[in-house]
Amino acid sequence: MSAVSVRHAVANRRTFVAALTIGGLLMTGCSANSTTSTSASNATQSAASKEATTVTVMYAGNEFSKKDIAAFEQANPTIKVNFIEFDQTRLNAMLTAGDPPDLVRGNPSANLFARGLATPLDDFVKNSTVIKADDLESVNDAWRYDGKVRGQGKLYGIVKDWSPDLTIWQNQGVFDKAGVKPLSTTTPSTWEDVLAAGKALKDKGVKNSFGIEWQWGVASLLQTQILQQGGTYYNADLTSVNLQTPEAIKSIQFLTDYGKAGVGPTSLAPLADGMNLPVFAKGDMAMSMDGYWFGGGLQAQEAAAVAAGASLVPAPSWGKRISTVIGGVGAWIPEKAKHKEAAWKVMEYLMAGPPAVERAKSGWGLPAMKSLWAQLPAAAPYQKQAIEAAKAELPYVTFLPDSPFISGDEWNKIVDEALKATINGSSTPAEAVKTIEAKVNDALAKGKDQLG
Amino acid sequence: MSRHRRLATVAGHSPRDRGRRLRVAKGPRRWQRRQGRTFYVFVAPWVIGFVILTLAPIIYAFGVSLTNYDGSSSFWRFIGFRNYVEFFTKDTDGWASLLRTLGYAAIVVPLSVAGGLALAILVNQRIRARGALRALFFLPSVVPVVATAITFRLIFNRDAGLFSGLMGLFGVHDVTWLSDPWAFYALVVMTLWGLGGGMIISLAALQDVPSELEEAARLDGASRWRYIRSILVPLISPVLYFQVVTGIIAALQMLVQPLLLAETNRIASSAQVPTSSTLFMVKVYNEFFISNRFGYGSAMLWIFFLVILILTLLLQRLSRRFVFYQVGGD
Repeated sequence: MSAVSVRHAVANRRTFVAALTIGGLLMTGCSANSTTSTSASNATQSAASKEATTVTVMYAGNEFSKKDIAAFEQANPTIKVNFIEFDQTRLNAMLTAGDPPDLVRGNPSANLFARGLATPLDDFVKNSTVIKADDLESVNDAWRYDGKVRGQGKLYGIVKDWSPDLTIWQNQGVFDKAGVKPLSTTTPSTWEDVLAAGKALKDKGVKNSFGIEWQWGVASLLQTQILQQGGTYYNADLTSVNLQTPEAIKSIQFLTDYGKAGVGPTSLAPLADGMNLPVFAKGDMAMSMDGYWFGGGLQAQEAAAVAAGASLVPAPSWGKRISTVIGGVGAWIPEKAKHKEAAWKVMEYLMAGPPAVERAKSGWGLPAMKSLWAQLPAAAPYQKQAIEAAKAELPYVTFLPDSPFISGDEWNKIVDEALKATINGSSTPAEAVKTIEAKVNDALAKGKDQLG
Repeated sequence: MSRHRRLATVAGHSPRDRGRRLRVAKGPRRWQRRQGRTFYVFVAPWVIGFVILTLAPIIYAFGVSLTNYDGSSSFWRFIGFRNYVEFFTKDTDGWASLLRTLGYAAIVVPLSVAGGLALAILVNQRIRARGALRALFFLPSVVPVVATAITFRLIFNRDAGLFSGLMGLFGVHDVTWLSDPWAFYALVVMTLWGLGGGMIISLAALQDVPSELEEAARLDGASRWRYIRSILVPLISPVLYFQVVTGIIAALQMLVQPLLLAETNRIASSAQVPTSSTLFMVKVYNEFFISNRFGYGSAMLWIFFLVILILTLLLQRLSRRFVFYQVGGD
């Protein structure tokens, strides 16, 4: 091969690789746009023919089943449901691409609202004959945000069900067998009383005497206990925390004592199942801090013996009676959703239609609509007692201050790491609150920087 | 000429290959064009895949690393190299996870390669049930990682695990092996369980070694150990080197195993991974999906990419002293 032809061949190959590279990058770069144009084309088609509206719903398959979807489509022949199982990573990718689902399952969060990702639903509610404003339980205010504070302002989502999450289920049989006095079902115990009962039961051989759902996050417990003592932790604009207070130290001391006592799960000694229900349902746990929804799990045949002696007791307190709702899971419509009207139809169906009725009947949570309370299961004595206990808790139910600049998972990770150190003795509660304060403030500063 | 240079000859550099090229160059023009087209057709799928699935994401990630992007909202802006500066000056947890990951690789890679080689030498002998032993040792490496992790979660379970039961015989009770500080060692043990994969590669290399060499060594009075150290290992050193490089990269990029091994029912929540098994990729995952700091996470990935690149280049440099390539025979 001559020198010229060699150079020519090399040049050809270079051109080829360069063309492929540029072509490939263009294809990648255009992928989001092509999705958008497909969706735009879909939107045009749906406008032309009303039969073609396809609403994309990212939800939990066990809460919006194929049967539910079929029933919805039958009742709404102009809407087809494209169901996607909830997946946070996929949701992020869809939001990033500007092509989000039309309806999404999720937790209420100031961070979500502050980022402008959710659509206000007030007008939908105003015009709805299915979800009426005066039928909404106040727990739905967890989905309100006024641009600074969660709990007031525009409504960005609807709660599917909820629970006063710090109320405790106790198994009377375990107490009786151990000869320990059970907790009052009407008057809140102090945190020390509950831990003392746990220790007394442990001394009598009950291995899991008092289960906090530690793996689901312990930050909300710290925050609740601070508020119950009359303290605060956020500043006025939710941009920093002050945790070097007697209230925070007392809370960390309590959680450390709980961990050291070995009465229930912590990160250092988690349950194999990662949750209390299987242990409690087998009769191997005396007290489980889970809230009303836990009763749904006691309806299984295997848990019948435990259910017969089970009761729901008020959330423990330290002075001021506060019973926090940590969850408030529901659904929201993304701001960039393309079929908001159709998505609202699904919302109505899920939150006030047949699936909501079935959910209320199952006992897996309290309904977010006042009209659905009558559907709660009350056949067994423990079910009746749980409803009464939940009703008695209502005046004290609240949700925690929520800064848009930090996520709940981040709070939980920071508090958990500090508690691991205090439980294993390498740190004191005073040092722990200092560490938590520094890390939370650092995360808040980063979040503030991000949102501007 | 060094010993290495005497042994090493890359096939494409041999005079014979140069001769082939020259002969092709003298062929008809149509054949040359056809050969060129064939080359492009064969190489195109890989190049397209590389550009779309590797090059574009790498460039995109670099762009994201220069912003404070949160992964979903429009609240982001260009911040230059601030994420990189933050990692090098402030992120003590990030550095701790990087050092932990390097430590993990330093433990796991030598043990995996040496263990795989030892097993390969064992099952390369004329022993009874050799085939069954090979299958037995290799089997763990084909078990899906999820099944492996669940198995090890059961083995290390504090209350009913096999390992806890065994330790109980020695008076060690109620230790949560999958929490700090033990989670790191549990992860190491789980990784080493799959060293049968390395065994298969080493075994293939061993079977390429002529048996005459061992006989000759024995006649010369070399012990078994001397034969392994001075003849066998140098002969299969390219294969061992391959295992070291891929092993280091795999160990450094470890993510799924620590997530699955964490004792939680929220697999998706990497926040639950114990500190001692929070390897670098877990930390990166946390930045992306717990803190929603896509910009910072991307910067960490780029730093990690450079660390891996430097390590690989370093290994390549070192390999000139320890890796011996055989002369290509005809």
